Amino acid sequence: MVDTPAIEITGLVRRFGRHDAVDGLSLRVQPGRCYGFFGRNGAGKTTTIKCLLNLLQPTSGTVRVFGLDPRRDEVAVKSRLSYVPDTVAFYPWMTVRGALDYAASFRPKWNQETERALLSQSRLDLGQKTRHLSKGQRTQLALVAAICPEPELLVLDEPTSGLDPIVRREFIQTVIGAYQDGDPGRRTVFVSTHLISEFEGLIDEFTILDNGREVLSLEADEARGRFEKPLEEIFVSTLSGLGARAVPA
Amino acid sequence: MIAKEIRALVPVWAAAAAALWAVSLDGSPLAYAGAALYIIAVAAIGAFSVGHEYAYGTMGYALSLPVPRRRIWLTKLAVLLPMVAALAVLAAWRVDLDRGDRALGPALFWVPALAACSVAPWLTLLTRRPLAGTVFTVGLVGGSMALGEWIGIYRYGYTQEVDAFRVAFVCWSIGLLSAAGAVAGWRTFARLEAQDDRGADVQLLAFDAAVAPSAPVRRRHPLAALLLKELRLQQLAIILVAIYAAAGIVALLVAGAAPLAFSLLSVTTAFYIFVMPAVIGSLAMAEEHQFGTHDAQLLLPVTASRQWLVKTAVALGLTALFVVALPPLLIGFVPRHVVGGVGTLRLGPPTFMLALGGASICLYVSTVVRSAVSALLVALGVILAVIFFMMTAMTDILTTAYEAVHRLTADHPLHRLPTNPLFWAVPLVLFVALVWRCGLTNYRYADRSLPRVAGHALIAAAFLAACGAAAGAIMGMN
Amino acid sequence: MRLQINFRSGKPVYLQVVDQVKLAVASGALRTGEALPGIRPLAESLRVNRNTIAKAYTELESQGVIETNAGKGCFVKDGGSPYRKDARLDILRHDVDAAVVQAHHLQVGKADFLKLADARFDAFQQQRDRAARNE
Repeated sequence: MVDTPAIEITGLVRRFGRHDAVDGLSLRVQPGRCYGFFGRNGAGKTTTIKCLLNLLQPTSGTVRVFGLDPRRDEVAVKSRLSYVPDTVAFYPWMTVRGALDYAASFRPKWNQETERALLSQSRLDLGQKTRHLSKGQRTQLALVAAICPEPELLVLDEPTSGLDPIVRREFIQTVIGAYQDGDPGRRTVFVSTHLISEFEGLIDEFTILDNGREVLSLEADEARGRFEKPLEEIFVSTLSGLGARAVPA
Repeated sequence: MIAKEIRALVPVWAAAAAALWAVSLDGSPLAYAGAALYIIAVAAIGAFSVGHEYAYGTMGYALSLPVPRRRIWLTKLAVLLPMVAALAVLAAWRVDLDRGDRALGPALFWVPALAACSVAPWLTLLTRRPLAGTVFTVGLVGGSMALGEWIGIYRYGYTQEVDAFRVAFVCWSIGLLSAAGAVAGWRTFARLEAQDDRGADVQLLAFDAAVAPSAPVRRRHPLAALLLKELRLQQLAIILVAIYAAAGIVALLVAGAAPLAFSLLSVTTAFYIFVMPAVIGSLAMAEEHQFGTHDAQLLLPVTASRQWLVKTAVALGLTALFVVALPPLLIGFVPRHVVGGVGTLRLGPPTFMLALGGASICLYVSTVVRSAVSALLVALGVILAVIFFMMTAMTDILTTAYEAVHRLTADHPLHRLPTNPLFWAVPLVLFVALVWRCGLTNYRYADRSLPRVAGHALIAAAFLAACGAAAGAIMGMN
Repeated sequence: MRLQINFRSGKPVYLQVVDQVKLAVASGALRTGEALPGIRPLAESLRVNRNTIAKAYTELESQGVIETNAGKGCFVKDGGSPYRKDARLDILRHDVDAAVVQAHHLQVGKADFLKLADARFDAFQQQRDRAARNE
């Protein structure tokens, strides 16, 4: 069965002044996969994601989410995905409960069970104001708000930066687990990060981006088979220009 | 470090200077606005000298540098004083005192400047929001002027001595306040804790219900959620309205005994009508930028146009309610024998148009400008520019169109503008809609582009010109 | 049963899971009829994608190592592998080939190799017996 790709980017170019943040990127994410989007700082990852979400307009190229144009079918696209940015912002006067209520008001579905489980695990106090939360706690709150509506696509931009090691481990285990526990074929994760070792086991397929261009796109197992290294080392060696030499079979 | 301070303040200063310059180019009614604008401008710069750290979230960073706090504070003052002085000189040169508050004389210029350098930074530190610091400083300065006049007239009646007393009162009160502000400001800064929040609340209204440890989710209709959020963003504006209303009620209660209160009320009202739309408009968008929630809002599964519509509707609604409806309501209660005293206020259709049009312009400006204070100043400048445009170029176009049409018919000179409300309402609604549409494009996209803004400005100017032509033609045909 | 994933080995993750489960069954660490960990808990503890574990379990089921009871989970199937002996030997041959090639690279001779294999068989049997005694 050929499914509509959850994300399809073709020849994306985004220019800022004279600088090409993204220069001809193409990738495809099938539904139900966990897709890694790796690159160094400034490689163009956040710009690409913003083009996916219609926060930025592509200079040229096409972007399709669930086969729809994020610009033309704004609401249809946004109601099926959740986004957690690298800098999370909340209205400072809202409490944790208030922020979740606000997010829930815009979504058709909201899984109370998931919310309860994630809240108790993250130990967030419902009555605390968001402006008194630490950076990591804000990220956790954003994750809860992103997962409870059970979206078909979860877009994460540097989700573990700012989280302490325990929370990071729990995040990988439980948050992604909670997300994927629903309908596996309709739970796609698109995670952009440069902390690759944390997501090692979760990634099905990945693209490495450098200077706005894709350098490598492979399935994770295939990459590990070819290079006989974990993904992080593949990333480092690919970008260091040393080139990873495949071990002869 | 000095360079950084200058760099942070220059945009605001430039906006203020440009606005002041524009004000003084022509027009008698604008001169009074010039004085008011000057007071607002210096207060804004004073507030922003500390406030930019809050606006851009750099307070924590600034305080963590290996520099003694005294030096940071003195650097800020060192940058602030010349800027304020330059503005004072500019205002003294350009603002025509004869038409404005001639009683105060040169004090009109150095008193607000003094307050701006001492009270404004202090209040900004207390409220942690530059906009609040600006507005309250302006309120203090204006309040002392009004109070001085009131007490003076109360003591001396309507004589010459009132003016002298007023000057003395203002100088002394603001002088003492400034001294207190300078000391208090430094002490507050010395002990300042850089909390991560960007001063969301003026802490007056801190009554929040306690949240149960395991409260279930409470979902509202999305539009209701947006509406409540918008109202919450406008908290500062609502506080100001409450203060104004309270002052108004007090004045009314006293108006029987002291008819003077009414004149003060009318002066305050004029100021209020001028400033409030700008505050409301600035709060609507600039705060979102400051909190960083703009992107998150754009990602909600609600179309950007609907979100912008709710935001604009709330802002214009509040303007209509508090600026257009409230003052006449208050003044309507004034006892009949008092009306006609000092400084009657005419609140006709032009005032309302100004308020609603001004609010729309301010909303648009705040989509482009990132901090509330800059938005306020730029918006005030733009409003004045629009008024200026209307009084000069648009009037010319109107007259030309009138004569062009009229030459075909009889030979009547140009009379006063018609008072038919439709004549005013239609262009206003169209203007608001046009500004709304331009603002939507800015709201929708994260990148600001100068060509786009310039395009919008041209469209607006063309629209106003067309209105002038149409108005002239219509009048010519009657 | 403790599973460990080696991201360095170049072997697909799900195959590592399959092999380690088969090893556990064969060594007696997993008894017949014993329940396997649920897909989600196992995925979380190994920090891998749940689809990977699901794929591993599907593979194990197709090889007849485990069976799924709807709603109750996966259980070790009775009697181990249902394949005929020569089919089983065929599956084993690949692993033996790899070991032989490795021995060649390391310049280990046939006699030493067989001696090592003998010793490993014994050790394995001892481990099974120990597991049986610990019941």
